[in-house]
Amino acid sequence: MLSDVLNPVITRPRRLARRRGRPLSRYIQSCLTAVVAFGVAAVLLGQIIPSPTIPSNVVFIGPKHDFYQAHKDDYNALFFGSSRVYNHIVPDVFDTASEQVGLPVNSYNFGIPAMRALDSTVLVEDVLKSPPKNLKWVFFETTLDKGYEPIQNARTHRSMYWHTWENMSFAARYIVKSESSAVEKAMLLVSHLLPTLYRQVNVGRLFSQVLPSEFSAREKATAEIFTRNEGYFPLVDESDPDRQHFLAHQDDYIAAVDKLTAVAETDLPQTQLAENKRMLLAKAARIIRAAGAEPIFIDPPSLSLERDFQIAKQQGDIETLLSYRAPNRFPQLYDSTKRFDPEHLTESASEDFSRLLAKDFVQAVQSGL
Amino acid sequence: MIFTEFRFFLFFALVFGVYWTLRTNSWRKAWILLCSYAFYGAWDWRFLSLIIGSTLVDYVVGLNLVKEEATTKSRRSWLLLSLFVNLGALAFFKYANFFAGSAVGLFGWLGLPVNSVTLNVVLPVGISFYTFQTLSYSLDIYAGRLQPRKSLLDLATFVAFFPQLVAGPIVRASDFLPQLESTRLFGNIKLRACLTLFMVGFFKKACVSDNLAPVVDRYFAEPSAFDAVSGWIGVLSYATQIYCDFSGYSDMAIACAGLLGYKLCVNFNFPYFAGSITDFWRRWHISLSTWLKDYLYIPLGGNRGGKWFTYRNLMLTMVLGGLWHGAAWTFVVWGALHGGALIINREWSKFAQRVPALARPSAWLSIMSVVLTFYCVCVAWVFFRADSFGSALAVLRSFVLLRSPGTQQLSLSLFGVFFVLACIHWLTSKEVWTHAVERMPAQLYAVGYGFAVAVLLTLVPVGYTPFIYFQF
Repeated sequence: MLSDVLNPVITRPRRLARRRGRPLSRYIQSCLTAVVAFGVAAVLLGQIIPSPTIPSNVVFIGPKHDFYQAHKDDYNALFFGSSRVYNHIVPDVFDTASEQVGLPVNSYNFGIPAMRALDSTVLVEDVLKSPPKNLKWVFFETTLDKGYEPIQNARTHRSMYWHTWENMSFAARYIVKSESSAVEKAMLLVSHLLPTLYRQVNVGRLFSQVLPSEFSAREKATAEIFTRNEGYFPLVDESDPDRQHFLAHQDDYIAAVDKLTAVAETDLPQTQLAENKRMLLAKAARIIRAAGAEPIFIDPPSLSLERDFQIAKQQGDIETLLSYRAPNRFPQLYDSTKRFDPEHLTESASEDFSRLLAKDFVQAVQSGL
Repeated sequence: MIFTEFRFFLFFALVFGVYWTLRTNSWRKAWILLCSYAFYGAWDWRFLSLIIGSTLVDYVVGLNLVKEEATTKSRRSWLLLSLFVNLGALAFFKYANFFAGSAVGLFGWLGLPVNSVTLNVVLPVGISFYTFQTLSYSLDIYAGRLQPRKSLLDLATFVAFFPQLVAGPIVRASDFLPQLESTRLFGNIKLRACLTLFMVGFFKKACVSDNLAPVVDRYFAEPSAFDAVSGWIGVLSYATQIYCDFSGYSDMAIACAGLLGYKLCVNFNFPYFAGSITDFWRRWHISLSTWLKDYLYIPLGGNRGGKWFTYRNLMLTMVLGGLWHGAAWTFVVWGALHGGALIINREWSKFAQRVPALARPSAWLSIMSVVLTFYCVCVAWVFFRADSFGSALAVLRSFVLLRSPGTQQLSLSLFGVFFVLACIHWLTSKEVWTHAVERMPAQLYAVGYGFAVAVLLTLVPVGYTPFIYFQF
């Protein structure tokens, strides 16, 4: 058949009579040989072709990391987190505001959209393996989610790069120690199998080493903006679908704020944080302290009703927390005119938030954190 | 679900395992049908109704076409019903907006402004392919070339057979239905050939086509921004991409069918080594070109009339072939260019027969004819790929006139990639490695296969790119 298709010009008489098949054991033997050969080759190739620790061709991560590497010793404060850092912390404004109240700070925003608890921790660990010489403070924001890895991310650099055996083991412990049901835990664990497998069999490894990054014009423009702003990316695109949806559904937003206000006005439950969440926070704090910096956790002005960071602070799991998840205390951050979409602030509100954060931060530093 | 996805491997392993475990042919066919519907439903389960509806209509039409009491008139009515349902669905889903838009444009040009009506129609994957298959069933029965199947299961399995369902090869009922009648024997499948063929298809699609896709997208998005050399790189990249994408899919489809014991027709035969456009169409998308020849060109009269009558038929066939690929005027131009080239080639062949030096061309002349044919095919590809005529003309300015206002450059190293790929392709055409693979001891083959798969995976770009021909 191979020659029939690859070389159809060559026609051969086909033997149609029933052939005596090979015994099944021979097929199984051949299959096992192929699988072993594949495994050996994958391991060898994994040794030969180095894997990037931080993918250079993922638009939010690569250019951000490259800029940071080139200037890292200039910074004494780093911000890590999701879009609620990426779109909310304006380093320039934060630094100026801090300096005005007597604390010289030079900060860099390492926020990356759609970061989750596990990959945020891995990113902090990778970046701080060789920390800036003058690093003093690391701000850390994350949602302590269940540890799910979206299936659509499985074959992406972003997901594959951090699914090492070591990180997978940490992810497994995070999931197993969670309060989820056994079935849910199994599902969560399975969600990490594919990126782990892809990483171990070197999917796209040579491709990403050989071919240069091909960012689209839009991606390039995005990278230019956040590079110019030391990692911060302002939300200004009025045609953004999330923005349009937000403008069209203001009632939903106001209802969500009312709900959060009601929760914020109640006392914190006197329970311990789930073991896996405590483990993750402890790890993040340990990594930051090992880099010679002080960890400062941020609870951003989001609409989530989870109060994990506040409980962690109350129970002594974390030492310094700057929390803004309370519309009754920070109405200026929850006003709908200050919002780009339900979860993100506008450009001017982000600047206000950066000033507010700087003031609280300096206060905390001056009072010995 | 596409052939290069991990979930397809799991899906196929399940299909393969259960299929060969089942004892009776009926159960196996039922299993294949179930899996085929699941495969198609993975895109959009709502479109299953289309494929099932089309199957039922042609089943009923087929049986009524051969009834003893059927008159010529009633037979014609039944055939018209099949044509109406199949082509109607194709016309609605694929061409409604195209014709509506073109009509609005025409009226506007004539100074009669008409409000544009655009239907929000989603094109069902592979509709062009299975429509041609079901049509061939009814047409063959009408022409007396095929007996209708009493087994609805057989017909449904033929129409929905998942390896070739969404992007061909376009299988003829007369080729495939007889295969469904007998139980396939595991001992008769050519396991090594199928596995190797699947790997070759995977390499073409995942390692070549998908890696070239960003280069092609970048160039064709704004051709005027690139210099003339980049124009050549962009067009050659697309010529390579579309060949590797489509023939890679065909290879994988043939391999999957082969692993289940079925033989699909060959769809590509080194088309870029063709010495003329006529030769190209004997080697490119063979199942479509033969379908168009048998069901369109010959019924139109073929070459049984005079010279101009033949040319009219050639042009009509190619233009409709172009339109089959997509609902846009650029596809019509692509078809017309090929139609024109076929006419010129026909005249040239007549002339060459009268000139001894051309009747028996030297090796040098043969090489030149391959290069010239490839160049013409590339010129036509520009219209196939470009989003608009403006964009196509900008590309042609670089590719034909070697002029471009742009300054951006694509990597020159891609010329090296083209050279390496051309060498591999040429060596394959000369059977340099296919024989070696066939003669290799089993254990050595297994080791080599494992190593080859591991190497290929490192070349796969991250993220999926759908097959180009899925949109047709």
